[in-house]
Amino acid sequence: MEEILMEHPYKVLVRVDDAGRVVEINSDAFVTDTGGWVEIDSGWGDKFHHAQGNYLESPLIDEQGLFLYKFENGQVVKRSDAEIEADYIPQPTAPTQEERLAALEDAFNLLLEGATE
Amino acid sequence: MLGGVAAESYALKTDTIENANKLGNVAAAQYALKNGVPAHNLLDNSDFNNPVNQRGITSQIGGGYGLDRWRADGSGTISVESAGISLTNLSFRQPVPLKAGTYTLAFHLSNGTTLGYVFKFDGSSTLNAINSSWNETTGAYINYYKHSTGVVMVQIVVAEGYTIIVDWAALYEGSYDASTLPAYQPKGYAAELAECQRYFIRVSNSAAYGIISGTGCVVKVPLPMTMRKDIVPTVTLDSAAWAYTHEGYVGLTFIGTTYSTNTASLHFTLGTETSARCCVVPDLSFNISADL
Repeated sequence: MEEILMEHPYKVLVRVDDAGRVVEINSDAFVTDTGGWVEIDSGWGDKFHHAQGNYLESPLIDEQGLFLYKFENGQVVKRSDAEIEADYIPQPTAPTQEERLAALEDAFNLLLEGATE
Repeated sequence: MLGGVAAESYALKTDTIENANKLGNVAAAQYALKNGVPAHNLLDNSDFNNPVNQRGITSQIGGGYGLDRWRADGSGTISVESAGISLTNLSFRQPVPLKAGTYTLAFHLSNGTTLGYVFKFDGSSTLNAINSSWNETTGAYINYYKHSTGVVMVQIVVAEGYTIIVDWAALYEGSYDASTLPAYQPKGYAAELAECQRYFIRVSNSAAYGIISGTGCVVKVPLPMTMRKDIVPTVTLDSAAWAYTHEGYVGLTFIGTTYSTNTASLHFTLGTETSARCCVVPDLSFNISADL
């Protein structure tokens, strides 16, 4: 009966990647399989229940999908601008019209060589 | 010319509009009862013959929210049946924001038993029982406790080895006993759904566009206007997501949500590199929770 009556404080959980970046934050109200998650805090109320958007002072990620926090010495701390910029991977650019035409010409020439051999 | 209403009652009804203090300190629900106005049920999703069930549960083992606005805790089960909801070995609870006042909590079982409990709340953290003599039956009882500041958790608790079926629940302002408890009035599914969607919304199979930058993809989703706005709600994806670009399909991994006014931005990382700057994300299913 005690188990039925008890209401437990919400656990704030984070997932950390191999580089120490915090890649996800949530509470145990929404995480059913806590394997791979680290508990960093617990408490009552919306800040802990809805930790995903309410626990940290700033968003976890920016518009480019770069992670803004790291897990260091048992604490979640903000990453430096240099650390964040180092993660940026520019998108591949689309080939230009000239590059596409050159690729088509190369492929066609290969076909001709094969047909004349 | 008074439409068949006694002069005194007509005057009182007019008075409620113009001069509320002339109710003579009578609780609004009792005043309403006296004048034939249905008492307002402060619980959301109280009609278990037709409950709001956005999560689509048919059976749930206790451990969180299932039916809208109700959570089940304990190792027992809750199942949705035609006669109501069947509860075994768990507590079935709803957190309710309340102001200071006296309240009557009631749960009605399908066997005809009504459990009731009257309590007084100071509006912050202090609750006091006023009448607890009709809050128990074999294997089950109802009670309440402070959940957080200004929020009371009301519940029915079913002991191990017992099963009950509940068909409605009510919380009224005012003090009632078994003989004066207002007749239960279902609010109607549409009204119940609107109340529930202040706290939880499930979005199924929607399509959205995404903006790609670097290795990330951001999908902006307008938040429903019905949701409570005092916190940032929690978003959980219900299924794997993928995107379609001019270069083909790209897998997406959900990593979190950021918010601006009335808009949630769902952030994903891309499974493969792409030069595309935008994409369509079809079949997006997710839950938005601002549950107390």
